[in-house]
Amino acid sequence: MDTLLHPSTSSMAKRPCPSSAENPMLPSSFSQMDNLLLSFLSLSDSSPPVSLDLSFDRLLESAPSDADQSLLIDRAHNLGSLLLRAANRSARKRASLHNSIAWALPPDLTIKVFSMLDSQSLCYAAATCSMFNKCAMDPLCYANIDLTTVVPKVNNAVVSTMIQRAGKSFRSLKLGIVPGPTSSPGSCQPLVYSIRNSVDVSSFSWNDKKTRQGKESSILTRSCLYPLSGDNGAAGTLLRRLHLYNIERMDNASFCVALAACPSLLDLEIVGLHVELRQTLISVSSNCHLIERLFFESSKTGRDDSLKSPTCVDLVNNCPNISSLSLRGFKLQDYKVRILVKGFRKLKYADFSTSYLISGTFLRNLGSGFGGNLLEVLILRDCMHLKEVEVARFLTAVLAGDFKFLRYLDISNREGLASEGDWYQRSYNSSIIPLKQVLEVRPNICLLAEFPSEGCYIDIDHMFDSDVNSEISLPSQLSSHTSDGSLLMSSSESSYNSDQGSGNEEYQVSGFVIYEESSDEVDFLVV
Amino acid sequence: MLLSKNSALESKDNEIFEVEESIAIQSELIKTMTTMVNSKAYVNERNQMVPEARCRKQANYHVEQNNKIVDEELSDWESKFFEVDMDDLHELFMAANYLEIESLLNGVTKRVGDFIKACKNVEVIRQTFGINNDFAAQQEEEIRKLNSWNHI
Repeated sequence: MDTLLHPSTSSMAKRPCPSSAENPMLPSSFSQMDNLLLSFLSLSDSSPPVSLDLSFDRLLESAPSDADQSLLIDRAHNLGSLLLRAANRSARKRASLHNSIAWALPPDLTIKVFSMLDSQSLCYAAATCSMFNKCAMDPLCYANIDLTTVVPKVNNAVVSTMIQRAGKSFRSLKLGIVPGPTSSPGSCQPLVYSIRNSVDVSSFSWNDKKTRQGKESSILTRSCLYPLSGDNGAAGTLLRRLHLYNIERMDNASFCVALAACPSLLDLEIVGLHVELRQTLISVSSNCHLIERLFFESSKTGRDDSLKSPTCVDLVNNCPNISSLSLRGFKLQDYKVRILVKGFRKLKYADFSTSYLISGTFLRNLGSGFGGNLLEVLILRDCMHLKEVEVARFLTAVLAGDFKFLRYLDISNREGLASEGDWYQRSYNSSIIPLKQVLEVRPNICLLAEFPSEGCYIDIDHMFDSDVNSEISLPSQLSSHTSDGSLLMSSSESSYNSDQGSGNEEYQVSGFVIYEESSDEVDFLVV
Repeated sequence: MLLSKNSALESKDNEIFEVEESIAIQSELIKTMTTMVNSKAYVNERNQMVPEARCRKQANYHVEQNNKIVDEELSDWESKFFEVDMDDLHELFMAANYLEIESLLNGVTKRVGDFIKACKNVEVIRQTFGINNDFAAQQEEEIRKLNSWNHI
């Protein structure tokens, strides 16, 4: 390094070199190099501003040969870049030092803070400075990975990276497209989200451009869950909670492979995936024996009727810990639902909203003995074939003391409840349902019974138009109903005796109706 | 409120606090020290290393309230308690960490986390906490690539 400098020292001999003697502030240990550098750097402060490039030009002109000129230029490049690098490095060091003072928390506390952040904020923090970056790589920060977004922008690589970073702390994974921050899975609004229905079109089209740039790299494909199976299923074994929303490309095979890698799963929530109910439940009952919560919302409302009774029996036998079960938007027959509700001994939360075919007979004789008596929440919202007579029967049982733990019941239906004989006929003003009595006798129950106002004629066709995702054709629906109707008659248990209500007539509740004020506002009947 | 034994705790700036023993024990550090001393007649700890008196007081107050209030009121009270600026929060953090009071530590951690969450991008985080960018150009490029999905 020094040898490089010697020739240039001679050409710069015109400039005065301050020695240690002249400047008492300099340590005597400063080498010749240090002095040189110091005097060079002080050039930028000199009062008639020094013009480096003019000076350099003069040097070049005075160079004896062309080769010497090239040499000078090379040296200028080298030294210039060395100096620049040194300055940048020092600037970074100083910035880091400043940061550690400004953010005075030690790393372990910083990691603790970061572990409370959602994945997106965590990534922002990691991009802030090197100290944050290091802390943000700690596995604790990735215990609960939430990569749900409003528009598609996450790809498989991101999922894989985060799962890898989680290491042994990996506990929970949420993935997919969730429309807006306000809707929560607990609400009864259908979550199935279609790109076409995207509300925030402007931001989505910008993302779309990015997508094309990255060659569709912002889409989750069906292999997005492969990291769960990798390394002998190391990650999958740790997973306790898995929530997947509207991953268009997920299919049965890939999903079942993923489930097979997660034996410790406690909470599974699937919304809008193109997977078959039966296959998924088979996979759950084969692999996830510890599962406690199952929330499954169909991507094709009313068209998946794959569920079979042996599947229900297997699920009940292999997954005894299920305390929360939601199957929304499927075709479910009463006898199959009955297997589930009676079979899960610990069942507290049951949600069969937007189900087709169930008429409510599965509720008969449920609340007293084994199975169903622990039920705290029952949601049967918008079940098209739910009969008012069965609801009445159920509420009578509640009045009689069954379902001791029931605290929330939702039998609202935007088309009203089905009448006894023909499910076409709807009942909006149910006089046989003892709503008032239930509220008096069991005041702690929160009871939702929203029906459209009396006299508003709902076209049968309109019923199907209102559901964007379903394409149920009329004749097949009718035929399946009647065929199942006969099935119901034969296979339901001999429980017609007790609940048949002469009691029903006593509880004439005339004025107890929920009317819609406007098309969207509905009064809740809440206690 | 039962009057159990009171501990006298002295802080670094020589203020003495009378604290109910059940509350003092919420701090793991004090608990350890107490059991080490193992005295039945009195529990009188000298706690020389504790930082600012004020945050000790706050820590005690928090712990005390913790014992009294029901859940809903507690969350309201807590959100008000933590609505302080970054400096105070930092003091609370240090105190909670040193004294090993888990509930207080969790509360402060969450509050700081909320601060970060409220920042919508990297620049705002830097401004809020007075942090400078100390990445080398290459590092920055790598980070940008990794986070392209986040549109940083």
